[in-house]
Amino acid sequence: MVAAPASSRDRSGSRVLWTRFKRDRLAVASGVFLTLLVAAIIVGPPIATRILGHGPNDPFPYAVDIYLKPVGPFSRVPDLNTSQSNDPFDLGTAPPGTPTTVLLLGGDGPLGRDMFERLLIGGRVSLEVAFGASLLAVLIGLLLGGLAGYFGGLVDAVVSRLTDFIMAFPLLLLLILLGNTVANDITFVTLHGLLQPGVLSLILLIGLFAWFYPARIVRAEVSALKEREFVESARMIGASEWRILRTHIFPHVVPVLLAYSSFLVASNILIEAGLTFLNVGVRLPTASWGTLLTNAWGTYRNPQPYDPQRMTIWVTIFPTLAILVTAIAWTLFGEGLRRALAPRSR
Amino acid sequence: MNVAGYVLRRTAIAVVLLVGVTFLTFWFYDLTPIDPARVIIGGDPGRPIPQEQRDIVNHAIGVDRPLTTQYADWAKGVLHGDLGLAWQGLAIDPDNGLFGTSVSAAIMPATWRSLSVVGGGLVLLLALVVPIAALSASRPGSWFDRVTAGLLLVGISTHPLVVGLLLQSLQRRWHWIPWGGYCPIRKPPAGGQTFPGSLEPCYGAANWAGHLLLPWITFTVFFAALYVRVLRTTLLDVLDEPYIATARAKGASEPRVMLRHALRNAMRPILTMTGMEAGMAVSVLLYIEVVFGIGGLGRLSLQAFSGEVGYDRPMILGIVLFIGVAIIGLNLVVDLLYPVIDRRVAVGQDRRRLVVGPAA
Repeated sequence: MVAAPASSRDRSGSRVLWTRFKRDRLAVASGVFLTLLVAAIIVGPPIATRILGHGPNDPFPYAVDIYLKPVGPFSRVPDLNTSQSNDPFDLGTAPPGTPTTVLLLGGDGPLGRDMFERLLIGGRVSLEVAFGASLLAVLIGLLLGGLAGYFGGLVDAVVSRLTDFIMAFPLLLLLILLGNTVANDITFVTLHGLLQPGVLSLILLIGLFAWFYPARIVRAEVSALKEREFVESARMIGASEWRILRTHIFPHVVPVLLAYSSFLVASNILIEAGLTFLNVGVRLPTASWGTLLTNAWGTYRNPQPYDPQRMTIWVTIFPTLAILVTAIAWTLFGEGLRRALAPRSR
Repeated sequence: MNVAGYVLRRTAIAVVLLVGVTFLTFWFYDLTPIDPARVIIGGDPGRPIPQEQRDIVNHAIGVDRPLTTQYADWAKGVLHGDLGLAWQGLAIDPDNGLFGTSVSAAIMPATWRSLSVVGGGLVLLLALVVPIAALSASRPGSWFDRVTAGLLLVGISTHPLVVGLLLQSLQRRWHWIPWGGYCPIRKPPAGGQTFPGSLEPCYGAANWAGHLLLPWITFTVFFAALYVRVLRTTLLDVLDEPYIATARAKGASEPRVMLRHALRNAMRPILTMTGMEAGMAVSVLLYIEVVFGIGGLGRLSLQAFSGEVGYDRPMILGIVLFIGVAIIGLNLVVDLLYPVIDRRVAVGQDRRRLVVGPAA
């Protein structure tokens, strides 16, 4: 609805949508949660660093025990980033009088970094990847699906075959091949610090993997819309093809696509975590929810089954919950949008 | 359109698609900075390979020729049913040619393992999905409907990797079923795989199913939400049809209406989903095989694609071709099955118009 010209009819359309959306309390709650989450991961990390006095990548050797098991939530640990002992195998205790700092959610693994701050900054990386990849996929899908649905014929045949082509391709495997080889070249492209290192390559990799489903939705919508009377009448008064697409068709496609993008963001958060396990994710020491999970589970080449002596259960629980709750919130939000768009669906 | 002509046309399209997919893989491989000689010779990446050795290797495997010639040679081999020799562990004898593992010999046993995971997973999935969807659709909005919807949402929002690893952690605590691995149904030849704590090779139907139980559960947990949702929506639409009212008016009981009249006509979108989610199933399979240590196609491809044992081009191409054939073949079978399940559909009708998509 954003692209549509502001007319009184259009405003009432989006108001109807909002009235319907409001009825779904779960979806509204998800929307509120996601807004808070986005705000927290944008402004949160610098504030947390300022208040707590340490950054997300600072190691605390005294926050792990002799088995390298990190401390649990709400632990005060000596504020030292290097060992003060001459024995490499035994840190001993920190010198008396060392100032302490607090790890709100405990340590993140053998290095004893702050789990809370890494969750915040990691959420930023994960959501950047999920958002960027979804945006890329939806834009490609809108373009290709729109062309195929509107012009039909040869364009449609080409796009449909291309979709079949992508579907027949084990794309995850290709991602692994590319991620392990060429993605290194664009790892450090950060668009002037806007993105974390490695995020752009993940966005490109996942975005190119996910466009075919939105393309299919857009194609179906557009090919149904172009037969409608209002398009006929627009054509009759001499509107150009581009104008019909822009002002008569896209405003109807965009809300449907928004609902779908919400699902896409949820699944991309999961894909990011999975790719990290397969060694194709962001490079350490940058945190993402995927790399936080690999702290607990290892990667596929070096899996670490859960060992209570070596790892606290918190290291698994916090990133898993972060991914789970965020993915569910995006799904419920999308579901609410979808219901608001098609009130008769159950 | 008659069935034979339709199959012929679809097969022709499939061949074009497969040529495209494999050529693209060839091209991508060429674009990446992978050194084929290094994959075959191995050794310390820091130490350069002598030029004459490199020339011998490159000539023997044919990478010194133009890309199109290499592709034509590979395609000719495929038409003769030969996927070539894997580069990993390849021995080059300048006089007598090449010796090594053939790609098809590596793929075939892996395929059976992967099929065991996916096949059993699908059976478990349907056994769970059909009753849940039927109960939910018969009383939409009931507590059962809401609770299962919530649980399934948690299932699809958790990565299969995490589900698998969590199940394994539980297993490590309680030891009630095997943690994974693979036991063939038939007795393997002497010296088969043994498991820690046992000297006997593991085989037999019960062992096979026991070792695959956790992978099947992982598979089901991920896909259940999608399938239940689609089946429930379709069932709700079908239950509004006049013929359901007719059946009820005749005095058919509710279970009979659901089983005989509604479910049968609601199965079509499930079939469509199975075809369309095949690519997704390959990804999930990969994670499952990694977590549970099953040497199937996923594990095999991960080894070849991630450079774990070197970027093995013949193996990569073999797997890409094989998975492509499997996915395209599955979709063809699904399209051919439509008229069998639903008499209103003729063979060759565009099924995309019939799909109940997320936006519908």
